[in-house]
Amino acid sequence: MRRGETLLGWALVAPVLILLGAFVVAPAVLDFPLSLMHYDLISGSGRWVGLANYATLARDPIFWEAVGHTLQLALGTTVPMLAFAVVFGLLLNRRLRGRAVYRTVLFAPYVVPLVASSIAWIWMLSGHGFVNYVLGAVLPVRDFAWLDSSAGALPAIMLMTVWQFVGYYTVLVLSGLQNIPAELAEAARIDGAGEVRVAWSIILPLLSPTLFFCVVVSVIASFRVFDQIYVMTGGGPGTATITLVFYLYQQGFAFFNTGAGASVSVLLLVALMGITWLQLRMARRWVTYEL
Amino acid sequence: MTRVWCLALVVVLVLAIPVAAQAPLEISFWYGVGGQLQKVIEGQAEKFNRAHPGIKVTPFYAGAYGAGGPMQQKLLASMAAGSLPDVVQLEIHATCTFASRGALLALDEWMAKSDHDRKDDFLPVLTNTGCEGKTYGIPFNRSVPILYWNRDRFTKAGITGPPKTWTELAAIAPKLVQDGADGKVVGFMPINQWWFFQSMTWSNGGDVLSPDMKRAVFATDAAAAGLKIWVDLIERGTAQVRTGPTEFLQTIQDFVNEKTAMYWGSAADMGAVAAAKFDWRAALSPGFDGKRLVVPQGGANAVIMAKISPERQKAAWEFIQWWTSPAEAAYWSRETGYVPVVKKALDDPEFKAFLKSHPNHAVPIEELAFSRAAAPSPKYFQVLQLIQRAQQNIISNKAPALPTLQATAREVDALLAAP
Amino acid sequence: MTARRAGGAVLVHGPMVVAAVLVAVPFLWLVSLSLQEPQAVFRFPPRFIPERFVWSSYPDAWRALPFGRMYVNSILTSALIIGGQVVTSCLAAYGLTQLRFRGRHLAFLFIISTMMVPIQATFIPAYVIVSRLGWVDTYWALVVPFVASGFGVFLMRQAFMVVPRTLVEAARIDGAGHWTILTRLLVPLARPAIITLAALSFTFHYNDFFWPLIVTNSAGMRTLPVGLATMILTEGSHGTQWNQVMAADVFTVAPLLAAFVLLQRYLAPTSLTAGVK
Repeated sequence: MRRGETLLGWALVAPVLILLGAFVVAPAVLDFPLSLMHYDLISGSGRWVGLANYATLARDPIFWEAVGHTLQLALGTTVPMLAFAVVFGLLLNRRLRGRAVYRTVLFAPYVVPLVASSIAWIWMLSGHGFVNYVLGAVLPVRDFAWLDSSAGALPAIMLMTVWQFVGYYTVLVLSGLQNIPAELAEAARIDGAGEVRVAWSIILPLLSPTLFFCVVVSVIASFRVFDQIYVMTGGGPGTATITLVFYLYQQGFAFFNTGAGASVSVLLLVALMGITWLQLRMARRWVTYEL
Repeated sequence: MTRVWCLALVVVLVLAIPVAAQAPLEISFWYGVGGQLQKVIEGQAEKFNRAHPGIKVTPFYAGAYGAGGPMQQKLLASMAAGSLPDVVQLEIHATCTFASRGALLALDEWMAKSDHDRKDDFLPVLTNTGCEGKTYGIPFNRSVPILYWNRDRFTKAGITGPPKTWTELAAIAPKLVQDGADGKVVGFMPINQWWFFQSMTWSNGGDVLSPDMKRAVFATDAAAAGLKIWVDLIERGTAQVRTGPTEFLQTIQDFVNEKTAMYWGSAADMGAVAAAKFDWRAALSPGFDGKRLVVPQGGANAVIMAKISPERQKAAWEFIQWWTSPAEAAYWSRETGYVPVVKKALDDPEFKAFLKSHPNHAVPIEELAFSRAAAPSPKYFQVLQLIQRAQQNIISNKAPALPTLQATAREVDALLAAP
Repeated sequence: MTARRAGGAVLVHGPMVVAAVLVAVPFLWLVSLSLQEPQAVFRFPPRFIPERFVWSSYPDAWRALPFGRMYVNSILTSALIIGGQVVTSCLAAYGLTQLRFRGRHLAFLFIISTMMVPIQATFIPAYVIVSRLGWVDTYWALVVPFVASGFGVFLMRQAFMVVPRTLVEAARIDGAGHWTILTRLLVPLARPAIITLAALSFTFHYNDFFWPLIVTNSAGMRTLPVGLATMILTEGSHGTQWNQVMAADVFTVAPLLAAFVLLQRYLAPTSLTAGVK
């Protein structure tokens, strides 16, 4: 019985393991040896160079810019996105006319291809686009082309990314809120606590596991940002929006430094695995805490 | 029942006839341009196929061909897997990078035997086609930087012709600042890209890399001079600059929409500029006083992959030769604004008539005589990225020109010294 | 009391209406600009209601590329991927949640670790594998590498985990085998999660750009985002016809938004958080 179960278990998991192994894990694992080589994709030859690729990265000012931009992007998307998501979640978490409509509209950008929404945003953020049309009422931004400015391009990417994904996190927060027993908030209200106070000291603490999950998902996502940069700025102007994945892509495919590209992949993988591991550990602790 | 069988037999026979008659050798041609150019390319391939029953060229859009564009990714992946295309439209600066690793077929012998693709059959476009003394690419689409000017606005300002030098340009630009239909019209708009920096540096007697390609040599007053003129014009409000990914498109559009009286762009813009509703003209790129104008070329070469079978190579060469035959080269140039690559195209009667009615198209052809090749360093794209960053800092972020170039040169030196 | 309630409604609806409008704005402008002259994108202030409706941008964009074929390719490959993912994910999730076997945790960790690998880091080796299998320029290459999904297993595992064990035990005592429990009990209960998986996966694969570009070599195999990219990411093109680009963008996006509105009640990734709370 026990043995039968083991066999069946592995048989059921096998298709997924084999497919993911062949098309995701094996290629990713290859990055490790590649990162220790000078490998030439054109001629198909390589030689071992130890940690030379990592040393090159450490010396490359643009690599450090890419690290900086990635961290800024992680911060600059996660914080506003979750702040909005919590506000929207709290507002939508009540018997409300048109709740489904709001939710649909907020979530809609998530289903649209990044290539497609990037095209719309190229115009939105151009000198004569909608963003300036609105901001022009209060700020002297006429003809300020966001994507063309060293200072404006990264915030513009953040804005577009928040737009694309805020609905997704709102829905996540909403489902977290729906798991919080309504009686707790009700009891506090009867005790005379105002709405803001109820939200702040009753609901938010109970929501924190969900929020933590959202933070992790959002940070991982921002480490992988590529499409919108590729379409909207190409990493520019200059190098103002080069992120880690974009840097990896350039090293590998524009500059033919396969080894350097692979070493960035390795760093990314290690960082993301670290974050995920942390998240799993903490999630486990919460689950036991609830039991 | 038998009727069904008969019918099936007929169908099979009909299907088999063309196969038995001849199976044309199918070769794949990867190109990397979209929009209008895509239609021209597909039409031309069809025309070739009709004229060559033994060969079937299958054109395929493989992603934008620029440095690090998706086509390059696709090409690298296909090389790693050994499933190669036959002919590729390859960015000119990447030619030596691929050729030096044995990926491309050397074409010198083929060219010598050709009746119209010998080296002296070409206009001065055989730049960045070779590597280590051999030729690997046939110029496919080639452009040079040229100056576009709005003749109506020039006349209004009492200026008769385009500026020949940066000094002249700087002098007339303020006079061209006028009020337009919606807002101010500036005198000049440059495009803040390395391609133009390269041109100004060369024209002022400087260079980007040392001849051995081991050192950056652009941290000089000669190289900074052009950028300083731009900064000065921008600060005085007589010029404006777009930067960023769509700067090219935007600047063309600004010229067409009369937001500027002049802009310095590419010969390949002509199709787009043709939408302008005023008398627009093309002129040679501005140079520096008393110095010879030097411009870079841009675009792509047609290359043949080395590791395909000899008969495929032959068919591929057939296609390239057809493409560069005078009539087709002339057709391509007329349709696209890229220069015709062979001398005889200029004798093509249709092309002659075309140049007569479109004198602007003669400008880039004339300017080819002033062009030179870029250094075939395998790290050239990386160097250019650093230069692009410096330009962004100088033009848009108001960093001082020379010190910024000096700092960038140090970064380039470190990059070139790395293995 | 009623006054306070009205005030409350304004406090709630006010910000939500503003937010919803702001989120919808890029879509609305996309449609607006697709119906104007190409130059309209350069006008300031922008004009929302077209001065003159340019309906021709739609047929023009449609004719610019073989959109019909690209739709078929995009929809067919995405549908095959979804089908595959649902089957493999349900099987694996059943194994992971209902059976106790050695190495179960390890297998799960392996599976979810694949969720964070960026495609740019892996696609060359993946391409080599696909090409050795002789799949280049076939639907196999577009579909098979994605038939298993770490996210799918993660999602289905969460969905199966919240099914009370007592229900499963009861079914087992009634003599139900693994197959019956999976197909008659767990899958029906996990229907919302399955639809969520299908919808998210459809979105992702319908939208994928790099992989289809790299593994296809003929125009007949092209998918929509690749086609869309040919309209903007081009070199030396004859001036982008922005209204046509916007129209093509609308073509690409409209089926997604339509499908989303129809399926949106399932799209709420509620089950995602189920195991995390």
